Amino acid sequence: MSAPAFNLQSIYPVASSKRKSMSDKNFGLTEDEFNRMLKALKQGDDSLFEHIYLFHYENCVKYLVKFRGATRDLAYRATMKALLETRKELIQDKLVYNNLNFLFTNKAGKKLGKIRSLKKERMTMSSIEGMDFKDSSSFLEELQTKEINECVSKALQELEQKEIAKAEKLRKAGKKSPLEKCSELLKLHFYENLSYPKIVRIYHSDATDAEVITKADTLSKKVNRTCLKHLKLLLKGCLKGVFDN
Amino acid sequence: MKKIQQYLNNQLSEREDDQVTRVLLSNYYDSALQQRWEQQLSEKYGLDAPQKTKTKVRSLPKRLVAVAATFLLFLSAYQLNNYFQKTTPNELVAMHLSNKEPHTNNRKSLESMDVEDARNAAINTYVQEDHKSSIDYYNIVLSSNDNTIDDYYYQGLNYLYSEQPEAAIKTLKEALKKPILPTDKTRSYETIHWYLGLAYLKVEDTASAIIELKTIKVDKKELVEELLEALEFDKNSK
Repeated sequence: MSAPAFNLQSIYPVASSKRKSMSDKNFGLTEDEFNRMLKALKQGDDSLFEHIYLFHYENCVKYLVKFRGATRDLAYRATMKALLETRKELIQDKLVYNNLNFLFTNKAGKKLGKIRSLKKERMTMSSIEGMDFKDSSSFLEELQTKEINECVSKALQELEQKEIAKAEKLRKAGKKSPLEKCSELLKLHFYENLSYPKIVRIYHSDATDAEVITKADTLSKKVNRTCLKHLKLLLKGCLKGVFDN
Repeated sequence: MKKIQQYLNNQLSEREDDQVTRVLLSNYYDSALQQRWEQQLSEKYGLDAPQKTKTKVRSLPKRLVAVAATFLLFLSAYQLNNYFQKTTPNELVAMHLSNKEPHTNNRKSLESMDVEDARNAAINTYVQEDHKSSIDYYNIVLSSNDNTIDDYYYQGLNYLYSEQPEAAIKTLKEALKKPILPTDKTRSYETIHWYLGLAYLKVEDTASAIIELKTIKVDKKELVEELLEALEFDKNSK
């Protein structure tokens, strides 16, 4: 017997009227509420996602199970992936208050399709006798494993600790440490997909356009020459161990 | 293993290096965020992630019957033979957009003028295929009075390469309104009509795409003919 499903009815009753208001189409939020929570999200407060998860998760999973033939586990994974991608798109201002319920469910459907096609590819490849799965799968897919994740986690933690130690040293010497930390820059540019000018505006909101251009250029060089170099050095030993096993 | 060694030794192309870094960091941050959310939901509302259920495994004879039936269905479809031989319009669009237009403007040395700095940075980032940054720099150039057809054209390409076809359409239309000066590197309006056509196809506005493509008489003539033919075939086979 599988584990019981989420019981969200007691927290968020589902709207029964056929004619939906704008807030019904947008996770039960008015435009003001949504914009306020979006602003908080950009400052690191994930309350919007707690709300989306509680309001829309069950509907989304039900849709995927009923209309796309997914198991609950697959539906959960697809919905979670959609949630993570939606968060990034909201931070990048790629989504606006319009019909977010539909967009989200649609996205979850696409994620489900992708999970299934990856699964099928792996099953097909592994069932062909004598064929080494690793030779034929995409290199980028191979990077998404638990062991590599642990290496990245270790490397980022070490990078952060080194930066804290360096900042302390500079402080003791009476010098200022740079505002922009490598661990943050790597996350903002490579994970949240923000361009360098946008990153500059986060750290220096009152910079002029000319200053933004110069600082963005400096940031880009710092990320490429310093931050990535350190990250790769820290990753070297750990990743070698993963691929040797 | 070889690829990861190349990545760690900075031997990959800039694009591949960027891709690998994005995948490594995305995977890590996504997992960490998911774990945090699940923990918070569990603590606050007592909600637990669903347990993994075993997927049903169909018996081999049933699987074989299903595969054979699917195969026969496809085999008996008359149009399928033509479909596999013809390249679809979407495939052609994707193929053309994967061959990126080189930037031919001269890079000027850094002057004290803001617009020139921005244009220089826009060109640099375009060449590095950092289209998102290039968009931001070109926005600065385009907000000034000192902008040219080239600026609008490459901004349009930036939007197209970063999967924002609606913005590309708007910008390329603005480019068509600008005169071609002797100092501009944009050769003719036909190139702009070509990319406008591709952008319309990306938003599935085939009618507008055909209008743009039929405007072209000289530039990329063979490619235009191929694409128009594919669109015609696509229309007839629906």
